Amino acid sequence: MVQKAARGAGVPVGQAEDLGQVAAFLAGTGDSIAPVTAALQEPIVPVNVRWHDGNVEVVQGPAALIGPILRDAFAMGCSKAILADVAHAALVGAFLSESGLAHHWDGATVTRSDATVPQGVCKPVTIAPGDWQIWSDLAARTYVPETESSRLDGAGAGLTDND
Amino acid sequence: MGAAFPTRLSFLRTLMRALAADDVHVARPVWEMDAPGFGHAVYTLRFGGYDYALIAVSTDLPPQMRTDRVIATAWDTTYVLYDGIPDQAEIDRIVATAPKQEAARFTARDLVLSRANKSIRLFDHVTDALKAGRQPDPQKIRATGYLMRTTAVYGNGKFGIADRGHIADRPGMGGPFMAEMLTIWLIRGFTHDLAEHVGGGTLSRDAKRHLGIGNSTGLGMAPFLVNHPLLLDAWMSVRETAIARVRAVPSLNEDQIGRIYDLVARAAQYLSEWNVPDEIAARRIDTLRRDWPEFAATLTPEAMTARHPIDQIITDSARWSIDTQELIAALVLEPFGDLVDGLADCMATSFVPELDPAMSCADLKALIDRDWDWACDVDYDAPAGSAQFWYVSEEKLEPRLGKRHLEPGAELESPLDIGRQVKALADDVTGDATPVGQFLARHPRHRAAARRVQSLARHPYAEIRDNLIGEACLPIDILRCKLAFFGAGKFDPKSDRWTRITLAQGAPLFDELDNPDDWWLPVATV
Repeated sequence: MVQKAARGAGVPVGQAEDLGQVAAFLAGTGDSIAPVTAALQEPIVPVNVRWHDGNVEVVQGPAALIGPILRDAFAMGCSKAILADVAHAALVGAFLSESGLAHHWDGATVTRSDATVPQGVCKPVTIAPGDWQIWSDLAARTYVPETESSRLDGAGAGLTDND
Repeated sequence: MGAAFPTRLSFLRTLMRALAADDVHVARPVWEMDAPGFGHAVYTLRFGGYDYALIAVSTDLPPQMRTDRVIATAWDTTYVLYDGIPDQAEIDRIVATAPKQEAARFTARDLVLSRANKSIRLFDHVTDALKAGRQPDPQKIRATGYLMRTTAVYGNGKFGIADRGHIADRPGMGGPFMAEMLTIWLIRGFTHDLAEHVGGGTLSRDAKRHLGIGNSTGLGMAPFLVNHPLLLDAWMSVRETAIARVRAVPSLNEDQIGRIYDLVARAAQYLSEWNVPDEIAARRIDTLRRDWPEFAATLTPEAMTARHPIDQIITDSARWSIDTQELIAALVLEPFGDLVDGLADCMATSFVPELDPAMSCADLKALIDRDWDWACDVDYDAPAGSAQFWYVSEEKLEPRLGKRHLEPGAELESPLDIGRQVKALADDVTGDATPVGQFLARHPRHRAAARRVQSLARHPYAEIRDNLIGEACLPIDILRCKLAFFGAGKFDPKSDRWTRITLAQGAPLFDELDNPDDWWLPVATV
């Protein structure tokens, strides 16, 4: 649902896939999924990051795009990242944890740490109705309204099967 | 993919072997059915140390509402596979909600949701015959092969039911679609019981064994394979590994030779009983029927006692039609369960495609050049190159396929245009040492494509190497591949985007699990 919602929000396909996985991870660890909902409601503006030797600095960009970039940065060997918006820390932290990267925050700066990363487990979860409604409404932006022609042709068959 | 046949590695076959190995017994503790056959029933079994139950609900459906399409809103019968043994309150809940299907909300105790419509012609014939104190006409049983058709089998979290991860670690449930296959097999048994109840008589064992469960399958399966590339790779890798193993068999003993001869004869009978109205499919079956005796004639005693006979059979099969080649490939696996059945454990995967951001753009570009010519050689700006678009319908939230240049909605298309995405990536990616992660920070829209390119390098069967939005794309080919992995047979295409099939035909009945495995290409003994 989050992946669909992300696409409805204008998030590119790859980042929508990533956000869906991070949402499942948060649900599995019992952490709040509020950062996901917040990211889905953020305008998708162009990204601007500066790469330095061993660290990366975000100048501009929405959390849904910054999260994957910083996860990539640590996987490429960066040891420090600086956010432009400290409000993005929760989602970026979830991206790092989901990839198994222990980390430590100091304001808007995140570095590697030796802490234990929580593991998600698959279990029934309850999503707050407010979040679910936001996700559903965004996902619905990708649905195509039906026409009589698409009813008949789009899925391909006749309308009754009494044989 | 469009010529695939079921094999002994198909999921239903694997499930039957697992049920037999676990000495599973099916009980029917609840049968609340009125004389015309409307009411509910509960079937229970213990499998892999866990209890499961199928709750079946039969309702009176006006003929004008009977459609196999996913757009239907009412069905003859509806089902839930339940985690555990339901108490009366849970039975009541499911009896109230199952008939609503997608319009209801389910719980994490509900594992699979399904529905089925009667094959009216055969169901009425069978029950009328039983009422008259005789067995149904064998010809009619052979012609249809099932009493009901399922029109959807939902699992893995849809509409509130349990996520697959909830049961994936349980013995017997780890393979792909095991809960769904168990549901299908139980539904098939229910259809036998319901016909006997309505008819007031007992169907012969041979008739029941030949009555599988029909299924109508539309476009929904195609996006599944595109969206689960590593699962597709696992299925295909297992199939190819199995074929490689039997090709490596140095020689055949007398029993194996006899088995192959029996299977060739059975396949010939199966082909003679496989009749479909679709002209293209019928022509292909005719070709199979012509090829098959010629193929059989090549299996001389000298050929069967030569060194590496299976390898020679597969090599020589290139002379026949694609359908015949695929049938031969499925056949040669059959006598070698000891060599290939263990591979079924490798058909599920918990992995998902992962991006390697440290790879250089030069290496990424080299992968595209090596593996993606089938995608990059397409002109997606030409009308034929992007003639179709996949989308999700607002009304049923189901995948559909539209004509881009004739229908509205293309701006909301689903991202199944993998080839086009990779070509766009190829146009932008530099051939230098820049890490892919830095490139994607500048070009976020290429993230999905870059991940797929890297995945294909490690998982050679992960992609359907075709333009899925092209004018020539036939979704029916994708459906057939997946359905064959399920164990489906008797493919009966109704258009280029939906097909009827038969599942569990020839499969053991509830009390026949002592003989679980000899039902490849089942032929009528009724």
